[in-house]
Amino acid sequence: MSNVIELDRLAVRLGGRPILKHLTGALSGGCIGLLGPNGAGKTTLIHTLLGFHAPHEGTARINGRDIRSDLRAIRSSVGYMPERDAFIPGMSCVQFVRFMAELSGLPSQAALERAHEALFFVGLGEARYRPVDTYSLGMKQLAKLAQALVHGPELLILDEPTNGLDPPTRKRMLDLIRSIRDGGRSRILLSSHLLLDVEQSCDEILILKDGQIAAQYDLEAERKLNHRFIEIEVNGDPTAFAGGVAALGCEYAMTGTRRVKVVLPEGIDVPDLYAVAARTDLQIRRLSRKRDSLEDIFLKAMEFEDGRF
Amino acid sequence: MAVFDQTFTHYAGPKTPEWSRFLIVPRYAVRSVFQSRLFTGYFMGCFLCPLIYAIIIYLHHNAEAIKMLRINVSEIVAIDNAFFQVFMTIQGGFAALLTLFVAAPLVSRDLANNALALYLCRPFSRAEYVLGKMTVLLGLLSAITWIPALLLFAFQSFLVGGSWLASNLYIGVGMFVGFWIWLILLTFTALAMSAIFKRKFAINSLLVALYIIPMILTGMINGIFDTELGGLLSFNLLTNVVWAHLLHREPQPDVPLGAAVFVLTTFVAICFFILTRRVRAYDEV
Repeated sequence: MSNVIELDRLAVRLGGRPILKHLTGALSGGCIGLLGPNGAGKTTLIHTLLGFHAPHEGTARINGRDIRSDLRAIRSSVGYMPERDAFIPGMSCVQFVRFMAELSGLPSQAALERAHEALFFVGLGEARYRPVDTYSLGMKQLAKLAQALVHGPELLILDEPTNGLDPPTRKRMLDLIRSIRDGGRSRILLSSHLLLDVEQSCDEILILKDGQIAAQYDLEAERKLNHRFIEIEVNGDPTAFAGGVAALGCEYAMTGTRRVKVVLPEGIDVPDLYAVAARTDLQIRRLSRKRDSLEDIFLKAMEFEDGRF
Repeated sequence: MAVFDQTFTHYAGPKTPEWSRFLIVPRYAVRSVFQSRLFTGYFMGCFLCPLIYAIIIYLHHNAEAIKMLRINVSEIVAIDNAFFQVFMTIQGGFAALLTLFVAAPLVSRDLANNALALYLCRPFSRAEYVLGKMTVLLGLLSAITWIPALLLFAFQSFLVGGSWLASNLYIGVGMFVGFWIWLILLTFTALAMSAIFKRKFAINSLLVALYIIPMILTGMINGIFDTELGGLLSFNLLTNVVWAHLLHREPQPDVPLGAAVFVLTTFVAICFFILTRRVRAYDEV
């Protein structure tokens, strides 16, 4: 897939303080997860891509369009769902979404038709004539999604879309995101604190930490790679066992005093591990097949060189 | 696409011209304003004065009607620059009240509900946003100020003839320019207050205070120091000075025209600065 977002030494300062520090990279996933702890610069990056903050140095491109020179074209092709509550009180939801569609350049009649469609798509069809300010939090989130996609954007930017949602509404939101992703008509940039949401929806992730890129993973490629992760819990000192599996050609990591994570190469299988355990006189208490979860990737990215978080 | 076909699709149809998009804001705002019966009643009431003025002008030139009513309108009121200055003062007051009705929620409602990010993430600039909001007020205010003023002027010219028009053209131009100065002043002040405060009561109180308190101060300063320069504090008195100059009348208070224009321009510039600071998708903390 072509690059949807390119970051070219992008630096942003707010109030004289550097927030984004020369980010460089290219993102090409169908659904890109943007992760990072509070204050990492996720929202600032989104705002900069939308032109709310001017870059201090460098630039970024969305679908090849530069944020410094083609901002209007970028905004025409992007749909944005902000994190905070955002609506116009006193309007029915269909009026609100229609108004937003018209601001995006749709003629009045087409905007009305698209507003109805978008509201049916997100599941607010039956409630579309109610004023937005009377909606529940979950309904407001869905209304925000509807206004973001009403004009059929090439890139949908979702900032914490599942914030504060109850489990059924959260599931509905994630189903919608996956449905848009699988439709292939629009790419998605999803910023979230919830790793499970990102893991379930995204095929690429960008992890920010302290205004810098801490990690960038192609989750889809990671899933496809047949890394055979085995997590083993032992009774006794696993140092000799670890040496034994290393001698077999396995990559390993000791996670705690009694746990070892092992990646099995081709030709090596679980019985070989039992053989090593027998040789080193170690009892295997539990063995599970496990690949690196997004949580592992995230924690690894957050770790300092000396092992601190 | 039919509404039962619940899938996400791109929009591939025609788009509206970019220059016209700021007009979407007043279209929706005006519709919502006229949902209030109180406002609609007030707005209709604003045309009472132009109607009376039109009747007076008509009576001036209709001998039969004058004979029937047994009055001599031309002896009661002369249709000249003073006649139109009174009209400006009355309609200017109505315009200020109409601003109180309409202006408060224009920007504050969007700021309070974080809606600016939704406007500005689209191909819609801050300038277009402000222009759209200004158009709401300017459109409504124009309907009760310079448009009826010019219609009355044209009516009088039509009834009297070309010679009156030629010798009194400055009245028409003066009303047009004078009203626009007042409308711009009202619009910028109201939008700036709406961008600072979130509550309608606070915005309207401040707007009233901005026009009433300086008038009181002006009276005090002029009384204590035996001067007329206290008028420099009051925007409505300064506007009256400009109107008087435009209509070739004696300005009251006697403040130099240049000073009046300077103060009004500075005030509008301050309001403009406030708008540029406040109308943002997100505050930079």
